[in-house]
Amino acid sequence: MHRLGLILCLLVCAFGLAAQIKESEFDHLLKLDERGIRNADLYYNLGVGYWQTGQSGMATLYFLRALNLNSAHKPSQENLDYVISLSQDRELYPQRLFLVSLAFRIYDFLNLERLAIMALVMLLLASLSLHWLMHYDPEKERGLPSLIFGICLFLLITSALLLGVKSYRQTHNSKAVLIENVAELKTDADDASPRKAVIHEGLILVVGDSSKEWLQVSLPDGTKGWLPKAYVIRVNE
Amino acid sequence: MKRILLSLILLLPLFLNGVKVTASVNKSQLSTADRLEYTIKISNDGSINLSEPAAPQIKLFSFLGMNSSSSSSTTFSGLKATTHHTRTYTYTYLPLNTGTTTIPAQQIKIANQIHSTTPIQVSVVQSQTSPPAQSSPWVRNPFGYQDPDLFLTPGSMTGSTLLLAVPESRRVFKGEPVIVSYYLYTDQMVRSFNMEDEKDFPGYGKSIFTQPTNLEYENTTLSGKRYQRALLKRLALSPNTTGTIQTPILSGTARIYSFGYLSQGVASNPVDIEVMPLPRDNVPDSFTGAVGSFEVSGNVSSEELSLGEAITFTLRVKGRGNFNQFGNPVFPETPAQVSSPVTVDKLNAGIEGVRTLYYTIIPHDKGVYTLPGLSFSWFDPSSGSYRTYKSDAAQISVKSANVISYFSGLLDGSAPRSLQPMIARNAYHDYRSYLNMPWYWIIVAVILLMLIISGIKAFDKLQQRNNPIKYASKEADRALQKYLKEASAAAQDLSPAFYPLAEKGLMQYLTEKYGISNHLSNPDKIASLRDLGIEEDVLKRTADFLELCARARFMPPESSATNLAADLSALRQIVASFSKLREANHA
Repeated sequence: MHRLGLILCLLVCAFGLAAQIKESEFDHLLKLDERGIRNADLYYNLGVGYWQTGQSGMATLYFLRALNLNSAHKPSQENLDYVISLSQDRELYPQRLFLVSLAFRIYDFLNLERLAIMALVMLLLASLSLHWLMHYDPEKERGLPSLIFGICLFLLITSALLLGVKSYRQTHNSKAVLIENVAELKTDADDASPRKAVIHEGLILVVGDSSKEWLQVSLPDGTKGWLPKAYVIRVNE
Repeated sequence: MKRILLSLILLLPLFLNGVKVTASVNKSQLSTADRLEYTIKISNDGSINLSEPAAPQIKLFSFLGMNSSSSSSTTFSGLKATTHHTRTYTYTYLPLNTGTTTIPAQQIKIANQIHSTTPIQVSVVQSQTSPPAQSSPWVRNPFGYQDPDLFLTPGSMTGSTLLLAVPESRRVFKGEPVIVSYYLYTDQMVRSFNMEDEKDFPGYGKSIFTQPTNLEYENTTLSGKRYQRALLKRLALSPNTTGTIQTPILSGTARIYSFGYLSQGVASNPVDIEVMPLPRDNVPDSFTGAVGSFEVSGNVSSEELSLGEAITFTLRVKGRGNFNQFGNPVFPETPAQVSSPVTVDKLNAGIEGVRTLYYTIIPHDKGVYTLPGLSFSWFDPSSGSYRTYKSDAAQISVKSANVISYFSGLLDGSAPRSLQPMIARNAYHDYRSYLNMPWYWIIVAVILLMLIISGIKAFDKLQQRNNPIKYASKEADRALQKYLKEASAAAQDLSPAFYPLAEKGLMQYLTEKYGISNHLSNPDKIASLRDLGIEEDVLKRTADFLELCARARFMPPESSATNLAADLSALRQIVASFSKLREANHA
């Protein structure tokens, strides 16, 4: 009895100590990020951590980084939608029609890995169907193998094209996030130029041209203007 | 006894179910340069309805701020769904002195039951790194070289330098933040100042409100004497006890120039601040401990929605006050499901700025609801009274879910209702696309290679099908080339094997080319060739060669070897004649 009690006490103490010496999760994630590890879950967790510390701009940035690596990362998409729904500039984001939304969902669902596998499977199916077609008895009607080969070829070309586009967009992501609390969108790359709009932290921008200290950006509603480079962080930075 | 123990162990999970309150710290031993994070985690299988626990008072530490998060997960077991809720409160503290202290057990009241955490012992050791010096480099070394230290003594210089703590107010209410400014007063040439220590007293939480990076002097008068003064620091003190508290003592070294440099230690004197208790009369029901000057506003994101959709109620609290010491207001009972609020802070030193609370509301049934107003009460020190903000009640119209809303629900399966929590991962592997993996391209290459081989085969078959005669000739040429090659090799070696090889190759060639049965005798084969219209001259030479081969089988090897070269030449001429015939036929 005494021995059992002692063991239980030791276990409780061990668990207590383990809890106490545990390093702060967020600090650990920041260190991993500094080491250059690219991982969608890591970026997602960093986004949550930044949001919990009140940095909505950085949170948005890291959710976007997670989605850049894996467009089908559902929790990142949910949290990004949530952060956007709470942002002051949420009205700037366009409302998509049902079918357009559906198309974007499908496009997001097909992340780079899924597209790569799909292209591989389609290549295999197209090869097999072509093999079937080539060795098909010429005395017979060739409609069925031709149809199947046509479908496989179409899907192969589609998946290969999507794979190429997605891969290019992943490495050339032009999205960026405003990290300054409030910023003025200027008509030219000059402090003295007139103001076009006032935007707030966390707004997702698309970067165009750049000058020495300025970036030309597009807002989600299409408005173009200039912002100081220090105000924004690019997703691929 | 053993049975009882076994039963207790087996029943342990039952006791562990329900509300669980745990406390932990990020480090049990930390230096004065670290921050202590004390976390209270509350988990329950049902909803957790409580106000934020007040920040614990920990000896040796000054309270800096707090953040909270909540999460929930649903488990389906058979037809039963169980939702597990977790809420976490993390309090951040700044170590003030070295030593060992115990964080007392915290009492958390949930559903009329008191839950207690375990006390945690922490120790603070001296930091190995010294605090950063505060200096004005543009003043200190204007000409690009270091002035020599002349080892002057304070008595050899005239003038005075002193450090004063100036509180914004000497009488405050409990919880009301007070700003204390630390100024360096001097009539000497102080080029830089190095802050060395900050001694604290009990009765308040502390955070840095302003921290200048340069000594920026302004002219002022103190006790009838003209001085220059520079702001060193502004601290925000949040009194958590009544009575008299003393401002922290700031000390450091001023580097004074007077034809050389002199270092002089200075320290501020503590200033008494009287902390008054909050009035006990007329305390509003919705008062959760907020003290300060606030502007409060609230609004609902939409007043019309379809069943299954959600709306957000936003409460904004703006101003200066003890943001880190009051809890979030609880939404009144409504026919809809209301989440615990998500807090977004934009605060300076935890006392000034904006706090935004987002409540997510999901109606259960269609109809028109009255969303009751949300009350937020605080004590306003300027008027010395409690004030209450109550948002307007809103009429929420909930329509039945139509076809479109079913579709929108399909697409909005991930519609934002609350922030998803972190994903637990033991390790994070570096991302590498399949396109950068060798195995991917090896599979692609294998598939393409197989396709090419299959294509060649198919082309061969196609040729055979489209022009069988040409195909047969081609195959026969190949066969003849093979046997002729063997026969040629035998002739060069003066081997009598030449004759059977030559006969075999020639006959296989003729068989494959003209479709003659291989089972016929040589004369019958010649007769068949004649029937196919082959020239007599060629047939005669072929018959002679075959007869020669038949005779060679019974000849002694020496006699047959003498004519091998001539016989090989004859074979070549026969093959050439058949090839010419083939080309003539094609023509």
